[in-house]
Amino acid sequence: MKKKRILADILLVAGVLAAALIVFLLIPRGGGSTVVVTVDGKEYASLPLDEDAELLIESEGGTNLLIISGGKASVVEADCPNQVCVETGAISSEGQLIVCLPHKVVIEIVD
Amino acid sequence: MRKLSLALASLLLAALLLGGCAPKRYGTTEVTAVFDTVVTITGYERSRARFEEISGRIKSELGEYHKLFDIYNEYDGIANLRTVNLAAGGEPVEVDARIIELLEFAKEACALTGGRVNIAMGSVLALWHEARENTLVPPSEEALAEAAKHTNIDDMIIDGNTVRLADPDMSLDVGAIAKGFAVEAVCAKLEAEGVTGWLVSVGGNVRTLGARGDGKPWQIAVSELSGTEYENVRIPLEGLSAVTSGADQRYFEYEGRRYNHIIDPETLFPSERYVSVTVVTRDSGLADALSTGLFNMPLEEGRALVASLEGTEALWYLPDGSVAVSDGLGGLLG
Repeated sequence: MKKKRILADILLVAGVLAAALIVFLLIPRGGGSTVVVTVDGKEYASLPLDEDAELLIESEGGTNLLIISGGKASVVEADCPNQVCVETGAISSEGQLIVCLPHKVVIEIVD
Repeated sequence: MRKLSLALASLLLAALLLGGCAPKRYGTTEVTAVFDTVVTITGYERSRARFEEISGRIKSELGEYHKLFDIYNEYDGIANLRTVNLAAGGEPVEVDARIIELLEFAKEACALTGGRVNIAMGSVLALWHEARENTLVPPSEEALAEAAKHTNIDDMIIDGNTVRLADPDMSLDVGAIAKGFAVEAVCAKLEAEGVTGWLVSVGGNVRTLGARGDGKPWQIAVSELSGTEYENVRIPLEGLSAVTSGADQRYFEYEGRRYNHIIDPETLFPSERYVSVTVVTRDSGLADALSTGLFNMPLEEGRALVASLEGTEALWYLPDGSVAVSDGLGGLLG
């Protein structure tokens, strides 16, 4: 009688754990990274890194042309004076940044 | 009843196993008018809401410091350093306590570095600022020598909560110390409240609060060192600050020569002693002031100064491609 109860308890615990694991595995974790663009501290655009795209970022200071291609993001053209954003090259991993100070533009890869 | 509590207990266990309770890493990076540079904030917190609350506070407080220390813009209802400069030669100006603290610190920094960081150099720095931003032609030696007659920091007279510039032709430029000072003030306040596991970077002025959320030190790379033997070096920071002054970030070119933004008070021309100087110490304001001070100082003098300051280390990148490090830094580098 007592053994049965313990067995039932173990089954219950195992059942709850298994259910929790299934729920955990089913929650979407947003596989791909996102390219987030902010201008003057405000979010301007948010694009998936795994989809090729082209975005002209228009700010008070001017424009920066962002290209996402083959899982990499880069600024290929800008009318800022120093061209630091263009010279930064392509970014692809989480936390990497392209910054254009004159235009107050930040392009960041987030998970 | 027993079954229910057992089920709840195992749910809790599941939550602990799968979700964990360690703080998560959150971050934000933006360029705004605040000190006209990149502000990066990273923090390990238990919820995004708490991260947003603290990072929001950091940004808004930095914004206040920026307005107070701004010499180019006026703001409604604020007496800032522009107000002080415009009143040069006239009556004392009543200012916020945070301005008085900055100016007192500036006097100390000037004395500590033998005048290599001098906020009373505004008249000279304004000529170079104009050259960098507009004319792209360096100022004449005559104009610089004339401006240099009005750079005595002792003519900045602090009395209670007022400040007066006794020389009508002088002006203050706090560009070499303001960011670091503001970052230190904001972070020290949070630290006193027990906030830990954070990193705040304002235009390369890095201040850490404790270690990272996983208990390991923050790792700082100095991008100015790429191409040297120290390219892949990481400086571990745990509650420390690191500031780099570099010649390759802001400059203009004229007749094939490069003019950077760090002006040597002795020559009145851009300092060409180093490519960059990095300072590691606890206080971000001191790190900021010292990085400029060391940039304007011969290596041996800089080494002696760093050795005399407890808990302070430095790294000098020289134009010939070599890198010099202070005695205590060698052991720290990873």
